[in-house]
Amino acid sequence: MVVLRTIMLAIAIALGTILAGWWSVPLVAVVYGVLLRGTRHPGLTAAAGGAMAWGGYLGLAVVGGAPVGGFASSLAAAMQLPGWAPLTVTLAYPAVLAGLAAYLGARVGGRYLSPA
Amino acid sequence: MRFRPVAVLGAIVLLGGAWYVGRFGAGPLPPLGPFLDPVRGAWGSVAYASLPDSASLHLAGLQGTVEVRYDQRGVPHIFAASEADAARALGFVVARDRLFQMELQARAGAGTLTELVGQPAVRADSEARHLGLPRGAEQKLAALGRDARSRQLLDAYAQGVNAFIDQASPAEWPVEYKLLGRRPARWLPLNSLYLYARMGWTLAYLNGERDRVAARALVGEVAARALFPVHSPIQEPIQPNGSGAPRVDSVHFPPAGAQDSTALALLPLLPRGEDPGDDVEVSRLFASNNWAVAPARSRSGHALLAGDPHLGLTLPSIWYEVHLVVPGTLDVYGVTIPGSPGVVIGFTRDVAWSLTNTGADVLDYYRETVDDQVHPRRYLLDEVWKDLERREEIYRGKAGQVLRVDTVLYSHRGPLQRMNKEWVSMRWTVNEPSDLVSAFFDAPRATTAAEFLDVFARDYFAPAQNVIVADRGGNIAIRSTGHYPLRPAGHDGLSVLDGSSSANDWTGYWPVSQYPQAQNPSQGFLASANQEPIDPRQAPAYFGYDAAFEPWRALQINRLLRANAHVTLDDMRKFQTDPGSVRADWFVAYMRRAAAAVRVRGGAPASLAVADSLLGAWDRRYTIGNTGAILFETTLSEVIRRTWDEFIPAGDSVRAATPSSGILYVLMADSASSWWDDRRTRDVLEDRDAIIAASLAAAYDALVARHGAPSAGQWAWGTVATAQVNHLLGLAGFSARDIPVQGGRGTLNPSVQNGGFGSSWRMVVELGPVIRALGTYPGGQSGNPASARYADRLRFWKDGDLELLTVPAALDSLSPSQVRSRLTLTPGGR
Repeated sequence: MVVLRTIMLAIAIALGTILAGWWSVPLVAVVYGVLLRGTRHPGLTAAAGGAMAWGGYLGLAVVGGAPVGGFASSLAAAMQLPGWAPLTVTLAYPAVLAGLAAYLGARVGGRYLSPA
Repeated sequence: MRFRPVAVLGAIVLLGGAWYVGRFGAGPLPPLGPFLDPVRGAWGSVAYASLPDSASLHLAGLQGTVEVRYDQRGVPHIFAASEADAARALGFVVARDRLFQMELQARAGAGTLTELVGQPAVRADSEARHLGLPRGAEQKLAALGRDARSRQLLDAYAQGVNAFIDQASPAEWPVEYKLLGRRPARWLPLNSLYLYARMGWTLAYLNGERDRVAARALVGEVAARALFPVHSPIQEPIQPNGSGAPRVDSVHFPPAGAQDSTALALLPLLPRGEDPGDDVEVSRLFASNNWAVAPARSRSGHALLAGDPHLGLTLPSIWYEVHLVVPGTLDVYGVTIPGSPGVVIGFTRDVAWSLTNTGADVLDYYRETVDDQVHPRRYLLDEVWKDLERREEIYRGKAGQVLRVDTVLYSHRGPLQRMNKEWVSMRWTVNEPSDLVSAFFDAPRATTAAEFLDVFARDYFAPAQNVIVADRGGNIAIRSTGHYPLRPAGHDGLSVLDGSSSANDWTGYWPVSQYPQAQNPSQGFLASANQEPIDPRQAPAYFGYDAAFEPWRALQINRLLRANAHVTLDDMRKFQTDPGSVRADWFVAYMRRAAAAVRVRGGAPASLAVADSLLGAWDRRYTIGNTGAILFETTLSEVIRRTWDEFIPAGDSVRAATPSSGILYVLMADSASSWWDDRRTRDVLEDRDAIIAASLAAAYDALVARHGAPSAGQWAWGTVATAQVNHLLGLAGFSARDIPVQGGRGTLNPSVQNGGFGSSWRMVVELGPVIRALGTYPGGQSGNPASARYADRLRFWKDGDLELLTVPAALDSLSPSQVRSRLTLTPGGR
C-alpha cells in the first residue's frame, strides 16, 4: 500500500512538474499530506515520491537515449562540483520540498481538520 | 497526527529555506528550482541533445516555404525562395544551435554583458563603450535606412532568431542561461552590427602608437624608428614582388639614445592593452593563413584554395557551418559567425574565398584641447570651440538594476578618453558607417575571382582583410580589402596628433586601385599569412607597422608552395598543419653558432654543451613528440628578455615595448651591436654570442628544473604546448583542454604554450567542374554541451584531418542516408 501510494504521488508530482513547474512539488505534497494525514510517515513517503518523480523523469530520458550520465559529469565539472552532485541534488531537492510540505500538511491538517 | 509546534516551526523554516534557494538561488548557485527542474531546467539540455528526425514550424514573415536538411555532420542546407527567407531560416537554425553564444558575443560588442553575467563584466563593457563600439553600430544601422536591402536582411535574420526564441520551451534554452539564472533576450537587427563591432575590436584594435611612443621615451627617437619601423625587414609580401624568394633587408640599429621627455609625457595618454610581458608574440597571434594555387601548379589542373583563420579557440566554436541556396541567386557554402547574416568564408559553385587579417593601421589618436579638464563640454578645432557630444552610458545588472553610470564624450573624430589628465580622441574605421551584410551576401553571387573582389571591395569596410579568391575558370587573386585612411602628409599613423587642427584629420580613403593586390601571378600561387601586404620598394605608402605583421608563416607557406609544382587537395590539407618552421630554421642556425663560439672562448656552463647537442638533434619541426621545440622557444624567449632590456622602464619589471621577431632576426647579423649588451650586468659587455649562449644554457636549466631531464619525457611538445579550447564562460566541464597538437609559433598551425589560440576553421577547395571541398573546425555545430555534435569535430581538427563537405545542388540531391534531420519552415505564426 505504501509503495502504491508513493508511486501514485510520484506520478502526481511528475505531472505537476511537467504542467506547472518545480514549485508544484511542495503544492502536490502538501495536498498529499493533508489528505493522508492519518497514515504513517506521510513526510517520508512524500520525500520518496518527490525523488522518484524527478528521478523517474530522468530515467525515462535515459531509456529514450538522452545522455544524462555524460551531461551530469560535464555539468558537475562546469559548476566545480563532484561528479555525483548534479544527479544527487536533483533527487534530493524535490525530496526535501515534498517531504517537508507533506509533513506540514499532515501536522496542520491533523490539528484543524477532522481525523482522516 | 499530533500537532508539535516546534517541529512544525522547524519544518516551516526548512521548507521556506528550500523554497527560497529554489526561487532565488544562494551565493554562486543559480535558483535551484528552475535549474534542477528535470523538464525545463538544466536537464532539458539532454532532451534536446539530438536534432529531431523531422520538424515543421511556422515562421512569421516568410514569403515561401523553406526546406532545411541537416546532413550527417549537422550542417543545415537551407533551400529558400528568396534571400530574405534564407536569412530568416539562417537566423532560426543558428539560434537553434547557438543562441547563448549569439547573445554573449553581441553583448560584448554592445557593452551590455553585465545584463547577462552581472558585475564582473563591468570592465569589459566599459571598454567597449569607451571605444565607441555601441554608438558606432547604432550609427551604421541608422545610415543603412529602413528600405536598404541589407537592413531587410538584418531584419529577416532577427525574425528568424526571434521565431526560434518564441517557439522554444525553456527546456530548449541553452544551459548557460540556466546557470546564470537568465532567459534569452529578443534579438535585434542591431545585434548583428554589435557583433561586427566586436570582430573589429578583436582584429583591428592595433596600438602601434603606444609601442613607438614607449620606445621613443626609453631609447630616443632615432633608435625607436629603427627598432619599430613602419616596414618589415623581412619581405615576402602578399602582392608578389617578383623576387621569388624572401628578402631580408639589412638594417643599421643605432645605439640607444637618451630618454625622450616629450615621449615620456605622451606615453600615459595612450591606452595600455593587455600586457604581454615576455610572451609578446602571443599577443600577435590573432592571425590566419590563406593561399591559392593556379591550375598550372595543381595536379588536377584546377585552381585550389585553402584558408584557416586563427582566432581564440572556444566551445562552441566561433564558426557555424551552413549552406544557403536560393535558386538562381545564391548557392553558397561556408562558415558564418553566429549572429551575422551571410557566409564569411566559403565557396560557391564558381568561386572560393578565405580571409586573413591585414594588420593595417586604421586607428589614430588626437590630443584634444578642451574647455575644462575635469568636465569638458567643448573642444577646440581650428580656433573655434565645438560642442562635444555626450552619451550617457548606463550599466545594468542581471535584474535590471543600475550598476554604474558614466558619460562618454565624442568629438567629430570619435570617442574621447581621459588619459593622465588629458583628453585623447580616436578615429577608427571600425566605428565608421559601413555595410558588411551586403558584402557577405553580394560577393558570393560573383562568378569570377575578379568580380568577387570588386563586389567585396565595394561594400567591405573593416576590419581590413586579405581576401583570397580562386575561381572555376582557373583564376586566382588576392586583395587586401578594407578602408585605409588617407592621412595628412608627413603623418605615418604612429604619432599622437594635435586635435586642435582639422589639417590633421583623415582626408578620405585609399582608392581600391592602390590596395595591395595580385591576380594570376607568374609564380602560380598566392599566399597571405599576415605578412606586410606589399613590398615597400614597390609602394612605400604607410599601411601599418612592422610589429603588426608577421613574416614567418608566410615564408613557410611560400617555401612549401614553391617546392611543389603538382599540388593536390590533400597536400593543401597537410600544409595547414605542416610542422616546419622557417623561424626555427633561421634562428637555430644563430643559436648553434653562438654556442660553438662561446665554447671555444671557454668558461661556458656545462649545460650549454648538452643544450646545444639537443638543439642540433632537433629537426626544427613542431611535431607532438619532439623535445627540441620547447628548448628553442624557451631559449628565444630568454634571448628576447636579455636583449631588449632597454625597454624596461626604471623601477618596472615588464618591457613597455618589444621589437618584432623580424627585427631580432635582422639584429642577429650584427654580432657586436650595443643592443646585445645586457645593461643589468654592469661590469660585462655582452655580444650576440654571449647573450644567445647564455640564454640557451639558462633555458636548458629552467626546463630541467620545470620538467626534469629531457629523457624523462616531459619535454614533448604535445605535452608542454597543448591546445585549450575553452567554453565561452570558461567553464571547465564544457571545455576541451590539454589537446596535443602539431605546430608552434611561426608554423602554419600556430600553437603556443597558453594554447588558447589557433586555427578556428580549416577549409580546402578544388574548383573543378564539380566542387570538392574539405573542412573542419575545433568544436561542433551544436552549442549544447549535452549534444554529440558539441565537440565532435575536435578529433579531426587535432589530427589535421578534414571532412568531406556535402554540397547538394538541390533539395533532392541529398540521399536519405545523408540526411540526419529535416526542418520545414512555412509562412505564418506570430
